[in-house]
Amino acid sequence: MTISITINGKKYKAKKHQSILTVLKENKIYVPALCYHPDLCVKSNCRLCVVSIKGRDGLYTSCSTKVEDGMDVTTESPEILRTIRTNLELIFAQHKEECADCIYRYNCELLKMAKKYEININRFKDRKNGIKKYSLGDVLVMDPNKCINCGNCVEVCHKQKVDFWQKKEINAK
Amino acid sequence: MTAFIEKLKKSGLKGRGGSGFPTFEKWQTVLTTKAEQKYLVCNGAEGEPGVKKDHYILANYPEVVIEGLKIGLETFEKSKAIIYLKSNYYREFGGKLKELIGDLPIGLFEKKGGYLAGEETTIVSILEGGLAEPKGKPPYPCKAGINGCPTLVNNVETWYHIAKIDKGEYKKSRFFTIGGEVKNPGVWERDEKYPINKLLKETDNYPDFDFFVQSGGEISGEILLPSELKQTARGQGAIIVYNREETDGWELMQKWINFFHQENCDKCTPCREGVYRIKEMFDKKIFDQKVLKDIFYVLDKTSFCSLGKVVSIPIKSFYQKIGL
Repeated sequence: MTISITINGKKYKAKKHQSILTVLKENKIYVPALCYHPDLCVKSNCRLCVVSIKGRDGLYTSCSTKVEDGMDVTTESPEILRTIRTNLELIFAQHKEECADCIYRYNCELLKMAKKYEININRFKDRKNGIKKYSLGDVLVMDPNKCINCGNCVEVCHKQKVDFWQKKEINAK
Repeated sequence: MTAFIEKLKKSGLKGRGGSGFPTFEKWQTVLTTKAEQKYLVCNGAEGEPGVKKDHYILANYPEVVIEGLKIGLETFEKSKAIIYLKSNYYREFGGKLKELIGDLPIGLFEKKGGYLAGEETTIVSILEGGLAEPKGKPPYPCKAGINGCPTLVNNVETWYHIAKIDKGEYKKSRFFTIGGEVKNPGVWERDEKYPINKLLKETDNYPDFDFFVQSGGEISGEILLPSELKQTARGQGAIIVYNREETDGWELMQKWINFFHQENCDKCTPCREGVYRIKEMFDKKIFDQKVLKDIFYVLDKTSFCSLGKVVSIPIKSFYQKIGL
């Protein structure tokens, strides 16, 4: 079923049950979405893909919010910008930057976002530093100091029936 | 709508777990959602420090809670109930509850996890055998909860009032917990709009020293000055009294932030990283107003669940009203 929604003042067609993020991507409207992956479950952990919806209070993560007929979505506002910038700076705070030696240097989603949103990637001191690295053979190294806790590797590992990475129950009592 | 849900609607009962959602709406959704299995959960996690009302009800009126669950089981076809209790409540009341349950389709479950494990989508995740981590809404548990089945999660106190509504004995009351620096701590049942100052005076708990109050709970509650006590207690109805002169503001705020830091599930950015950064500031006793405002902003606006959204409430209100 086709429905009609408004994004930043312009009308677009969408299918019922699609997420706002899917519709934005289909129409090449950019919102930062770090933990989103088309093959994986929607986790909405990173809290970057936020939009506002006319008539509703607060902000909504576009990856986890379904479109509705007549919905009026805004992707850019001072409120949204402030949110993205702060959350992005917080994400950088848990990622130890060693960009000069990094193979993703020219293709780093985080750095692209940092540039676009003009954030200070060192606003906070790195939280993770000196955590033990894991070498899985010669080809794969897991460096938790660079992990941004999106949870995607844990899901892939589970879906491949490996279950080597698992989320730890931190408050188990 | 069944005759009982109609009664529930008329009663105006709102969930006593803290969020104040109209109870009949949850019931109606569970009723109208078609499913082979429906679950009713009696939430006795009571994870907010300073709140003891569910303990009081389970100690004094467990039979009324079971009566409430019976009404739920009669209302929803193909339903089973689970009493979800925090560990010490499970140990203390498990035996008595089992006796009262008899052969009714009601199971007991000992809560795993901390503060978050009392949040309704987290309860669903735990009862499915998953991690103590909240799930996205929608779908709401009353539409698709445990293993996709409609799941009605109501607080212990809500189930108590449900039984009272059925008998025509509900008088729009709720249970208030009074604690902190008072002579006579305890739990009292009063009208749901009962003013804090009146309740403190009546229970011989009104302080004769300079004080302030935390309304709702010992962690997430808002700070109120004596001049603001004509209102009723919020959230889960706890009233905590502090001696203004003797309370160390830093220590108090550190207690709150350490709790939020320890109890958050590390899922979303603002809660995992933001709370960590606030804790860092409190540990060093250095405030950066701009950073604090930005972090509170993203916590309020973008936290995944209600834990992150309440972090700013005690800290902001303390800082504005009492100061350091």
